[in-house]
Order: sequence, then C-alpha cells, then structure tokens
Amino acid sequence: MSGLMVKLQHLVKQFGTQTVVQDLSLDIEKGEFLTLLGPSGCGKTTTLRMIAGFEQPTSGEIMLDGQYVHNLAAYHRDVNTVFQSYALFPHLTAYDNVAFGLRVKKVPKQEIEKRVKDALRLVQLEDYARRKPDQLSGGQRQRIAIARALVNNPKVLLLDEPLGALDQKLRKQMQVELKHLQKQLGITFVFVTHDQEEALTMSDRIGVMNQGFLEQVGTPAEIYERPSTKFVAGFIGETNLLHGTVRARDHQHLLVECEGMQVKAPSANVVENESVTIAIRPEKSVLSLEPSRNEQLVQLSGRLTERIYCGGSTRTIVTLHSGQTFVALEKTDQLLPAAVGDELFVHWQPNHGVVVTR
Amino acid sequence: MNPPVIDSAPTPQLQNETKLKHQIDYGKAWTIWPVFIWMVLLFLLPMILVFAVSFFSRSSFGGIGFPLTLENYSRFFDPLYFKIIWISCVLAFYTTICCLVLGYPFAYIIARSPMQYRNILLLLIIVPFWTNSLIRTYAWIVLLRTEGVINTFLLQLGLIEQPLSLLYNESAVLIGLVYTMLPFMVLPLYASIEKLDRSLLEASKDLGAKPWQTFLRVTLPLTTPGILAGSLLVFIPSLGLFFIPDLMGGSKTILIGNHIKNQFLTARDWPFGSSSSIILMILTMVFIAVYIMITKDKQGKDLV
Repeated sequence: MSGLMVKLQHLVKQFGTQTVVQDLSLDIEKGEFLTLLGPSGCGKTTTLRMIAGFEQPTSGEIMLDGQYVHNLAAYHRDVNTVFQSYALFPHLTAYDNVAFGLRVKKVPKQEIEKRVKDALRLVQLEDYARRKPDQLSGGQRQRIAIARALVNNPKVLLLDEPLGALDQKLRKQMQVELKHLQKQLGITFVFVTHDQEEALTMSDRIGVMNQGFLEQVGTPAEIYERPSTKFVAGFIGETNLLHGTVRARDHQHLLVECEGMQVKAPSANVVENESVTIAIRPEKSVLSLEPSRNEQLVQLSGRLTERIYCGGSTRTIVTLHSGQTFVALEKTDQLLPAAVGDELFVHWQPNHGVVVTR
Repeated sequence: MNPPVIDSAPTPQLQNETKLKHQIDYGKAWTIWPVFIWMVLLFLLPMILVFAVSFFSRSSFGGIGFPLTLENYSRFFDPLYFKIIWISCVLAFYTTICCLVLGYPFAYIIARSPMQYRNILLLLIIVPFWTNSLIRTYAWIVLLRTEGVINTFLLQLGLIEQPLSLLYNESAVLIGLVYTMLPFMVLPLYASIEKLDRSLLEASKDLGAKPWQTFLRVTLPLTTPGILAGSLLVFIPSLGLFFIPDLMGGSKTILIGNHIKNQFLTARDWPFGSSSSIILMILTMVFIAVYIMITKDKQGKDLV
C-alpha cells in the first residue's frame, strides 16, 4: 500500500502560446484516491491526459511505478481511463467493449472470458453483457466504462469527470460505489472533477488547480479547514473573505485591520503591514442581536439583508458596516428573531479564521 | 411520428387547425409539382419508352417495328453477352477496390486536418468536376499515349528505350475509371470518418491497441457505412460508363455500357439496346437491394 505510484515532475503543457499546465509537481501514493479539482480550464483534464499519454508534456517528467513513461505511447502505458463521455464503442456489445483491451493484448480466450465476467459482476451488469451501448442507460454505460478500464488491471485508473453526465441521485450513488470499488481493489485512482463536494466526499487527497497551477494538495479536511491560498479558500465550499493589513502581532494572534474593522486572527507567518486575507466559513460564525461580552471573540456589526432557506439550514446574509456582505449559517429551527433590515452582530473565535497571503 | 388521433368531435379551434393543415398540404403539393413533372418527363417517360422499345423488332432501316417479341431478351442469354457482363462487373469491382484503397487515406487525411483546410481540400476534389469528364479523359490520353507526356519524359530521362504502351488496354480503362469515380468514394468516406468520435480512438489507444489495431477494430467498423455507400456510388456508374472504355480502351474491351451504346449508335438495333439497358438496370437494382440489406442488417436504418 505504501510507495510512490505516480510522480509528476515540473510538468508544463503549452498549446500554441497558451500555457495550460504550469510547472506542476505531484506525488501520488499507491492505492491512493487523488482528486484534481478546479474550475473548467484550470488544466486538470490536460494533466490527466498527459498521464494517460494522449498529450505530450511540453516539458517535465512523468514517472509511473518507478519508470519514466512520458515518452511512451498511450497504448504502452499501464494506466486506463474512464472518459467523460464514456467513449464506449457503439458497434460492440457491453461484453465486447469490456473484452476489447484484453483482446488487443492477445490474452488467451478462456482467461478473457473469466476476467470479463468478473469485471461485469463487479459493476453488477452481468445480465447486460449482450446489449449495445445505445441499449443501456447513462448509469449502466458509466459502469461498463469502468469495467472496461478495470478489467485490464491498470496500475492507475484515470477518471475524467466520469459522473458529470449523471443526474444528482445516480451521481451520489456512483460516488459511493466508486469509492467502495477503489477500496476493494486497492487501485490508485486519479479523479478529475470540478465538483468540490464530490472531491471532498470521495478523495484521500485533493489537488486544487487554478489557471494551470496546482494551488494546494492535501486531505479534504486540510483543504477545507486550512486553505493555503485565497483561491482554495473561495473555491472549496462557501467562505467569507476579509481583506486587510496586519497591524500588530503577538505569538498567538494577529490583529488585522479590514476596512476600518479590527479583526483578530490566528498567528501566521506574516510581518506587520503585510496585506492578508482572513477566511471564515459561514458555519463557524454566530449571529446575535446584542453584542457579546466575550472579549476573546471577533465581533462585527451589520444589517440583515437576506435569508435564504436551504432546508435544515438557512443562509443569512449580513451587510457589514464596511459595505461587505457576510454569509452566516443558521439552523432553520433556531433562527434569530430578526427581520430584514435589523441590526445584528456576527462573531467567531479568532482561531476559526484562516489567514492566507496569496 | 404519427400525430395523435383525436376521436372526440373537433372543437372550433381544432377545426381551424385542420383547415390550416389542409392549406399546408396544398403548399406542399405546389412545391412538389415541379419536381414531379421533372421526374415524369425526364425519367419515367424515357424509361417507359426504353422498356416498350425492348419488345419491338428492328426494322430493316434501323428503326423500330413489329412484331412484338421477347427475342431481344432471349438474345442476351448468350455466352458472349454473359462475358461482357462479367468483364464489366470485374472491372467495376477493381475500380471500386482501387477507389477505396486510394480514397480512404485521402478522406481520412481531409477529415483529420484542421478545420480551416478541410473545405479547401474538399473543394480541390470537387473542382475537376467543373470540367467536362470527356475533356478530362482526353487529358489522360495526352498523358498516356505512346508519344504522350509520360513516355516522352521517361524517354528523355533515359529510363526507358522504347515507349511503354500505356494506353488502349484494360489498365488504361481502369485508370480512367478510378480517376473519374474517385470523388464519389472520397465524399461519403469523408462524411463518415468526420463523424467518428475521436474519443473512441483515444479509448482504443488507452486500452492498449496499437494504431493498426485501432484502425481495424474501431475506425474501419465504424466507417463501414461510408465504405458501403462509396462503393455503391462507384460500382454502379462504373458498370455503365461507356466513353472511358471507348476512348482509353481502344474499343478492345467491350463493356456493357459500350455494348448498349453500340446497339443504339453503331448497329442501330434500338430494341436490343433497350433490352440490354433494362437488364443492366435490373442488375443495378439487385446490387442496390444487396446494399440495403447489408446496411439494414448491420445497424438498422440510420445507416442509409
């Protein structure tokens, strides 16, 4: 289970004059479920395609299980891809689709039959072997695509937004199934998605990409609770970002001035007068009608501007006196008795803020 | 799709709607009329004429006269004419194969070239069609004949001492046919290769297929509709083209097309020419029927 499976070293990819992937280095462990997460056009799919061998890196190296593969053709690499559009062969049955990889590698017939059947059983589609792709539903096609890739026992399975075309319910179900499959088989998964929730629920580690750069790599909890850049803080989940300047610091806290407001934040590797951003999750903040007497809390005042019902929770939007909007999360059954336009206070523990400098 | 059937009595609004429908139908009829007249005058009537003439006898001065007879058909069942049909089919078959082998890479390159070049390349294929095909055939004669461009060139280079006999044989006819028919192969092939989803080729590569395996297992089966359509478009006209064998074959190779032409123009036996035309047409329809059966069999009606 331990050891390196994929090592990307200083990968750069340019299309014409446009640089799509910029100096990307990343180590992926054996058996790990790693997700590349980012908005469309951030270079995550291009990175995946370079690992698969569909794109040649402009510079940099790709190591797969201890061997350099960046000069190898895709058909010589021990990785398989589940495509966004599934890319099932329309002229072949589900069975023949799954058998494709084994047949081109001239695996003995009996072994093919056994492995294809096992793969179909794995995705619970044994009874659909004789169907053509156009006789299968979206979710079934998806599973055939997964079986077709897994039957080859790849060292790494690459998944390019494989759940994007499914409806919400099927999507949730497939997320769980994929995760189970990965645990069960112990295969390294590299998963590409723009859906942060999907990334958080499925991954062992997430690499957040933006404009060709890998911004941060870490466990879902690290990414969510300790974002290292403004982009990561804003992209993963909902966050309030307060921009300001460091005015004072001691060994525990920073005092940051944000548009006339004094905000206490946890200590970070910054100097006085440096511009920083403080990120606070909506669920970490508390609303009250009266100012809190607790001197330790960060406290800002504002006016309630909107409440958005989201089922169990309610998003309450407060316009701070600086004019900035701040989103707080309230439990719907414990709403503060306040109406739109009412004056109220937002507070949180300084340690719940995250200081980012980039 | 059929419109839903309404059994209840039509409401006033519905009546209006049905009225409107009738008006649209008249409109449709008016647009179809010109085409209909065109088809009747230029296709149906001549066909009926040919069909009728095939049952008459040749009069002594090359006209048509009585009695009505089936002899024009029974005459055809002679080893001589079977041989003509056979040679015609073989030559049309070779033409089709050559067009396919030459046309496939051609169509593939066009379909895979960047968008801005594709139309130019397609245009280059179509441009020769703007000249008369007879003139283009003469151009080939200028190239191939004993004192032609190719022989002169090779002689001057000293590569050959005697001029090669490139013209007036079966290969010359084949060259002429392939040259004339190639676009009919390239265009349907282009259409089906262009439609081919590139991610399927990537999937094949991803699953470990080498380029030739991808070609045989993915590209070729998925472009079969184009191959079949192109083959049909090349094969059938090749059966009937008469001027190319006439001009480039030196009337040594008699094909079914030449035979028909000769009956009408040289032998002045219109009834026999007509019966031969009908037989060629039946043959053609058999090939088309086979084509439809194959394509229906393969993936349903969306192929045709």
